[in-house]
Amino acid sequence: MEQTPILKVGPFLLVTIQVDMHDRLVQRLQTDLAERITATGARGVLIDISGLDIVDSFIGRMFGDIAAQARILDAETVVVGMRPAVAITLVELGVRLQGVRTALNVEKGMDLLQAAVAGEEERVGGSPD
Amino acid sequence: MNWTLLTLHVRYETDFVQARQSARQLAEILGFSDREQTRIATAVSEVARNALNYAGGGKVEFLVDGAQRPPLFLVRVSDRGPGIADLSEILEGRYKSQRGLGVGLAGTKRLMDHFDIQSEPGRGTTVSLGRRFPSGAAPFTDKELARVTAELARRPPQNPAEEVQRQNQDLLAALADLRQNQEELLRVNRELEEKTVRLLKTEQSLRARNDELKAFAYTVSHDLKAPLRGIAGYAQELDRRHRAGLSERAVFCLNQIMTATRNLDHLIEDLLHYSRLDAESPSLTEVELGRVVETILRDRSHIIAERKVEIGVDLRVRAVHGWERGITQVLTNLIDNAVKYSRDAQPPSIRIHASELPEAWRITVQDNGIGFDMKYHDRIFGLFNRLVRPEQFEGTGAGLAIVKKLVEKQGGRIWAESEPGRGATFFVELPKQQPEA
Repeated sequence: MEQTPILKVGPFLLVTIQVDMHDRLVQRLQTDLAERITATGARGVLIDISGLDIVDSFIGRMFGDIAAQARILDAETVVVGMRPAVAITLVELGVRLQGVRTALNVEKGMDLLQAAVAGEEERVGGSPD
Repeated sequence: MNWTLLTLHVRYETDFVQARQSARQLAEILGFSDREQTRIATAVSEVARNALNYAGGGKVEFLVDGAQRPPLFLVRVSDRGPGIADLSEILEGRYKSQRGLGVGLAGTKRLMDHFDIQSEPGRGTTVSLGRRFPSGAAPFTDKELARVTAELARRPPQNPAEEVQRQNQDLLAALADLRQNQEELLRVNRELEEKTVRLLKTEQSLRARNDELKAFAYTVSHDLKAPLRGIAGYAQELDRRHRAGLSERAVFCLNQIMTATRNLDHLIEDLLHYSRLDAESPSLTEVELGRVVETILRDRSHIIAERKVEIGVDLRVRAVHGWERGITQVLTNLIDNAVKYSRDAQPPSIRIHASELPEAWRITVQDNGIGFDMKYHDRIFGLFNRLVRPEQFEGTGAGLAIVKKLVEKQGGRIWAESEPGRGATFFVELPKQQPEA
């Protein structure tokens, strides 16, 4: 069975989508991510879609679902590397990536995640150490 | 005019990924910008997914509508699913499906220049999507189609999975063809078998009947000869020894009896001859045609002289390898016929000609007699079939039937050409290579 690789980078999980995904592959990714977040205690998920030519309403909605699910598991999700054409098409199509943060590239996405996690810890009262 | 660029069958999820990939590739080849390619591919993805999810699969056709200016890149997705009941609600975006159909169709409509959906509950759905060619694109032509097709074939698959999918597509199409062919073949085969069985049965019964008939013909003609001999004998005795005591009327009756007896005797002789032919096996020798013809003509020199028949013999073949008795009989009957039926011509003329063909020898006997209507061509070769009344021309009607049988026994063929009143030409062709007995 095909599978999208999930890499652990520091406290975050990095998913790089390199091939055009069919629906079940996206659903599988959602399940796999939930398991990996729980297993690693990751605080953030970075999904790099710079390799994706097409994001249609189903895949767009799945990103929303993944983000919602990650939030319940105490992790932030950032989608990075969206091509301009894909972004324009998504808007025209009427898909709103509600609850999904986006960044231009992996680096900026990392920054965003770091900041988000740090901000949250500040609000809670800093690290125990 | 619509050009079809590509047709895909969507049956599995990977197929619809292939569909949107192909949409993108084709859009690129057709000169659409990167942004346009994404739009088109996304729209195809939406619609093809619906076909897969709601109808269990369908067909995606990529076309170019060349009648439009600029031409329209058309994608037609059709399925045979349950159809869509609340179409207008969906298109106005009021419908919210669990799988995202609401956004899909309404959004797709926004992505394309042309959008048309035909659906009836229970009769499937067909969605047509169209996007106008980028401005400045040349009108679409056959040449352009060739370029697109070639380009598409040249593109390497992006990954092994895609290659497998592509082959899967070919396989699905081939499989459907194959199944249809096989069914057709099975049907034809069954029919053929039935016909063969019927034919074999018919052949068997025909053979049996033919044998029966031959035996019958032989027996009948043989058995008829004995009483006929009796009648002829007594009639002769009356004629020779008791003629003086007979009245004029009795002499007339006696003459009639003797004529009829002679005719009947000829008939029986011919019949016997004809049925004996089956049993005879041709023996092959060098047959000198010139000698054969000369002998026949010499035997008939009296009648030829009497009727002032002009005879022309032109034999370009000295000898043929064949069955001497058969060939002699064939020529005898044909020449006798020619003499007989040209009786009233002024003067009668008979030409005998022989020539060599690559595979056969051809002998023709031509006369300037009464001829016949070609519509009776096959009938004249039948046993006892006559086109003329016996008072006109004597004969039993067995002559040509015997000739035909003799020629066919040698693997040859015979036919005639004629016109009423303009003579007849009989053609005999004997193969140089005798068929296996």
